[in-house]
Amino acid sequence: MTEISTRQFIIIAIVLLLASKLDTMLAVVYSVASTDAIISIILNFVLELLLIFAITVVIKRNPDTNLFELLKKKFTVVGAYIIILLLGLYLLARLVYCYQELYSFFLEFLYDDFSPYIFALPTFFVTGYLAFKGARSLGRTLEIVIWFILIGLAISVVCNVEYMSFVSNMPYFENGASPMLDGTWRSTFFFGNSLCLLFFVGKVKFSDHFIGKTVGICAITSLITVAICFIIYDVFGYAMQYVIFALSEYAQYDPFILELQRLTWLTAIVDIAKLFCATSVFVYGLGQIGKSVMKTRSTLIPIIINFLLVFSIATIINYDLYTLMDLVTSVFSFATLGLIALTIIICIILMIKRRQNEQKFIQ
Amino acid sequence: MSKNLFNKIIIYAVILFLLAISPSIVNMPSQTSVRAICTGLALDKENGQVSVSAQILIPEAGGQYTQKLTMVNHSGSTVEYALKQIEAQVGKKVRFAHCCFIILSDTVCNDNLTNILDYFVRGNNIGNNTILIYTDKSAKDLLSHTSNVNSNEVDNLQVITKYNEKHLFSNGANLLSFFDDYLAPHHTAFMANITMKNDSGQSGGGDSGQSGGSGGSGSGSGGESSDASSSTSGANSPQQDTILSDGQVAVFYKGKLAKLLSNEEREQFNWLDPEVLDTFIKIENVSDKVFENATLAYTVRQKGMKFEYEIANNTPTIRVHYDLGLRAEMILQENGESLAVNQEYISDVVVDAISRKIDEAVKNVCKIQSEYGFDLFNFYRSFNINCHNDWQNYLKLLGDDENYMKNVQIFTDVTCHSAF
Amino acid sequence: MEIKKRIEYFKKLFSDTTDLASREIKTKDGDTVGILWIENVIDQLLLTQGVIKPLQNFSKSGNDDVVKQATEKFVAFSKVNEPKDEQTMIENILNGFVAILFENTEKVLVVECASWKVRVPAEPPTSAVTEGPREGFVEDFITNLALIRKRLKTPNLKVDKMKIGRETNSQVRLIYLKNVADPQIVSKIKKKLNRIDIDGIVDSHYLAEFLTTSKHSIFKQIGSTEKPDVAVAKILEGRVAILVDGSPIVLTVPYILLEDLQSSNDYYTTPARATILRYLRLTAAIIGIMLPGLYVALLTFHIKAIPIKLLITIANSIQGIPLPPLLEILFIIFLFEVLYEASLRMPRYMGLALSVVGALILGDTAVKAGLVSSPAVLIVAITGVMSYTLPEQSTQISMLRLIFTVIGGVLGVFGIIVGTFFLIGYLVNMDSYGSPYLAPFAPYIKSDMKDSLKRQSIMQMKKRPKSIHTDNARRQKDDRD
Repeated sequence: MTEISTRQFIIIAIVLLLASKLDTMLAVVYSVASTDAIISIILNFVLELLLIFAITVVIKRNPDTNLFELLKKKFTVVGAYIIILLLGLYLLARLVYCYQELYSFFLEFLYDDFSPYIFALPTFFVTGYLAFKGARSLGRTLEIVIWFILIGLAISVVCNVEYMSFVSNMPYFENGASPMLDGTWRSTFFFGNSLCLLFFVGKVKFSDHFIGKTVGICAITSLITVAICFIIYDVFGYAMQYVIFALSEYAQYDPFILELQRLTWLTAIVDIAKLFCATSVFVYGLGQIGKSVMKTRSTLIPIIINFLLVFSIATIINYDLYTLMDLVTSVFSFATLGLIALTIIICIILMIKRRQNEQKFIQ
Repeated sequence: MSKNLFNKIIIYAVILFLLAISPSIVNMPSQTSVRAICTGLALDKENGQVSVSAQILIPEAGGQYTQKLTMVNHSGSTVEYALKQIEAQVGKKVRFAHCCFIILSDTVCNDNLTNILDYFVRGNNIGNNTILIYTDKSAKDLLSHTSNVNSNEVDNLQVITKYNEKHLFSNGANLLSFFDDYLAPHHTAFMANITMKNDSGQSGGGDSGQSGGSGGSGSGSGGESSDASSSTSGANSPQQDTILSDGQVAVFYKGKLAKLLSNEEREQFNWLDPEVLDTFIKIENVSDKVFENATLAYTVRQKGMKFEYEIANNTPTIRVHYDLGLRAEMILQENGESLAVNQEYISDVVVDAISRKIDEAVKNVCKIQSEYGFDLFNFYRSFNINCHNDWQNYLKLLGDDENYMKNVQIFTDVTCHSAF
Repeated sequence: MEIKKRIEYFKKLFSDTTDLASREIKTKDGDTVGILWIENVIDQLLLTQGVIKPLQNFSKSGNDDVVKQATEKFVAFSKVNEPKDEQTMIENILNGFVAILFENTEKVLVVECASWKVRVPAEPPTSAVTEGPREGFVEDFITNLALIRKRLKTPNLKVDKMKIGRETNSQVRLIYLKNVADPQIVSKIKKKLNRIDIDGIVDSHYLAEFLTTSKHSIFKQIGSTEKPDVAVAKILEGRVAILVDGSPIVLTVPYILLEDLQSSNDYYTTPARATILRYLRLTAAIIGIMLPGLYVALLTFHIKAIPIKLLITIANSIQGIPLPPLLEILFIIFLFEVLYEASLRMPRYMGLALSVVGALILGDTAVKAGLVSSPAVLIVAITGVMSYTLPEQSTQISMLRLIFTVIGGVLGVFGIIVGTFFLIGYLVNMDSYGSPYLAPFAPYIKSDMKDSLKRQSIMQMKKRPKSIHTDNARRQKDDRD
């Protein structure tokens, strides 16, 4: 049953592309790749675009089935469970990171003291509500919120462009290609967001040139995001290591904006909106996984279980962003790289098998 | 689960949540009554201890927006300790979100500044864009001048730094930009020097001993509460002083104050910054077809600059090609007569004189940089980008990454045209 | 049965009500004829001249049915008929008919002499326009129907008749364009209306609640208007209008949120002006909902977001106020709502005095006494004014304002953002008879954006809104046709 339009699907893809990319990710990549960070980001974006392309082709070719059914058909039940669980693990990690990012953001920018418990319940409630209501609700909500995100982003970026020197991080590859490669694989965790698009298999109402439009717009979004990353790196230069929430820090870079003060608030809303939307999509994905695995009719129980898991993990790591960042730049990123590669291979297999089936049918 | 049941669960969860937190929230007072709002900070060093002065807003019922701010001061071995003591004195947590500037005295700047500023840049209490201001006198005295939030003084501080950012060779240095420059390979940062002068032109701030003495050793908070909270501005003569920037720039190398550039030196440095316009150039003893021993002054309306970097014979060389658009502002004959000549008057002799003047300035810049070791224009990066291999070889041969400026030579080539 | 006895019988059916009048008349032939009617709902002159007088002159000819002959006598009346049963006759009498009883026959004749006291169509107080039609609906549904008919002179206009309310027997009319409105929507509405089993409905708002899909929602789900031009515009877009006798409010279905952002005035001014006004209304509504919550949130959690000079003013104003910001604002909102409610209920001359008392005495004195701060009073006053830029949504806005104030005070800006997300998520899920509540924004409908927040020229609106389902989308001849 189609639930979302092509436009809504593209907006979901855009939100996933933007989520986390302009916040902690910049500092994480810089801590590894130093001045070559932007190259690492470009490479990862190329990888994510490939992923989006593969997923959109699969979505286009399988309009009448959902992800779990499709995987079961092609990889048997066991294969499908393995793939789904791997995806679930990634989404869970991503969800924990997103919640942690949101919480740290509030603590850093908006509140003096902020109990994680007071933060958790409303956040879980709203993101869970959006996810529970399904793809249609998610698509429509994002259709409205995307305007706030884009306008806020544009204003935030434009305000401090004058501080650019274009050469802050040059020359690139000063220490060879290793920092860049290191930066690339150790930040892949942030570039697997689009795996979530897999859960929209069989739920998109296609318009003309579905694949072209989706990939094209995602490519443009990636380009713009890379440009913003470049601007931020350029403006902060070597001080990037002190900047955790890059976009918000960037928006208040001009000291005279501090007097007006409140541009930070605009970016705060952009950041929060972005992360809220992305977390809702992750929760939706996890809900779908839970629904398939637990064979429940509604996603309510899986969503509640996910929240309990996320809450437990966050409590175990003591709501510390830095602990998560360390994990992200090591095990998680490597695993994500593998998962993205696996997904692309799966998508290719699905495409090939489909083609073979079509040929058989013609014979 | 039925839809109705889900809705009911949601509603009850929300009500339960609100009920659970409402007792504490309903009585939650305004933050203005539990937080001390700091609008400015000053850091001095006395007897090896950091003296932190904070300008704090204490609300008064029926008060106006022109209300005076209270200044609180305390010393301690670290900034954090001093601030904790200030919090203890005020009885509120101090918040720096409205802190527009941190004034640093020369006593602080003589040591590595990053040791002190690190506290601010890492914490989330103060904005990373907070302006840094250097003063060659007591930072506390300068801060006490800005105690009235709506007074001319605080506006002065804002206006001066903003003006400097746009027109002088001194950007509105903030916490992050300072660290950016500090961590970059050239390790050179700079900020404006703002000082106080009284009406007669005498430098003020000599009274720092009176008010600043209160900061004391910081050995105990109890005994010092009176002097700590007492130093509201206006108690001393600095009220009659005015805050001003006479164009001096404090240059920091590796976090320490390396040199305080005088106004003249700063103007010489301006010649290497393409973004600084409105430069005034004065040439004397000009004799050509029209003038005899005249003094001419031009404003630079356009400043085209092209840099060429080259490393030959282990000598890094920079060639700067100027294309200046000038307008004559003042022409004075030796006998004191002013000639009525068009503002676009430029002759070969004038161009030669200007070239010489610029060359002289640039050479002096080179000399200062090589003497103090700092690299204000980040030539390191420019060489590294434009002749990467040669530059790396040069550094390798030099064996000392930090003194790379000693061999750098700058040559200039000037063309001029009139401009309105 | 004798006429007298039959009259007694009918009076008993009407519970011996005193306003059921009756009279016996002798015809020319000497026969007795009885007449029954409800006082005050019929035209007395018509009764004497059109019924009593012809009956006195009536003489039977031949052996023909006396009722049939009498019917011919009353041809001057538009509605003359023989009720099939007793129940129909009672209903007719209640609706302003005069019943005529003849000797030696059980048959009854009813003739319409109704003359209801109706208000003259006037400009509705809630939807005044500077330019444009000033007529408004009245309580009489016949007049209302005429007002719509006057503007829609087409045989495609279909009026379906219904009667709802066991005791009130209220007349309800469904009005729609047969060739435009979606038959499924019409049948869905009919089904819902037919299912209603209630003793009575006294106003169209009773029906609105039966027609809503989400019963507990605080949001308006059925459109309403007091102006025939608006009703006609909505019918032309494919909506169904519902008229209820006794109510000047006409309901329209389906309803989308955007409708209340649009005012009929928008179409009587230039598109650019209308666009600005719509953005203005939206901004005012958002401020009306959010401002008190934001104020409380900023003061309680985020003073760092307030510019220093403003902060000093506010900090000085709230210094010494006994209540914390949340309770202070809630207290002022409470006062504001009480004043509003009281000024609505009070006699007009007292209401005026009350508003002066409210504004001057309560506001000013409370500030001077240090009970509340002036910024808080200002904030609530601003939001009060703002919420009335969308008069149809003012009740929703005031409820949302209260919710956001509490959330803002409890959770700060985080709460407001969470609340906004929930609100958007909730609204996108609502739909009214197949029309998404937030259309054309979510889902985005490109063609409907021509008349959304921006209004394009009517010449460019070639199609009917897609958000209201219709099989006949074309409004104007497309140049390409």
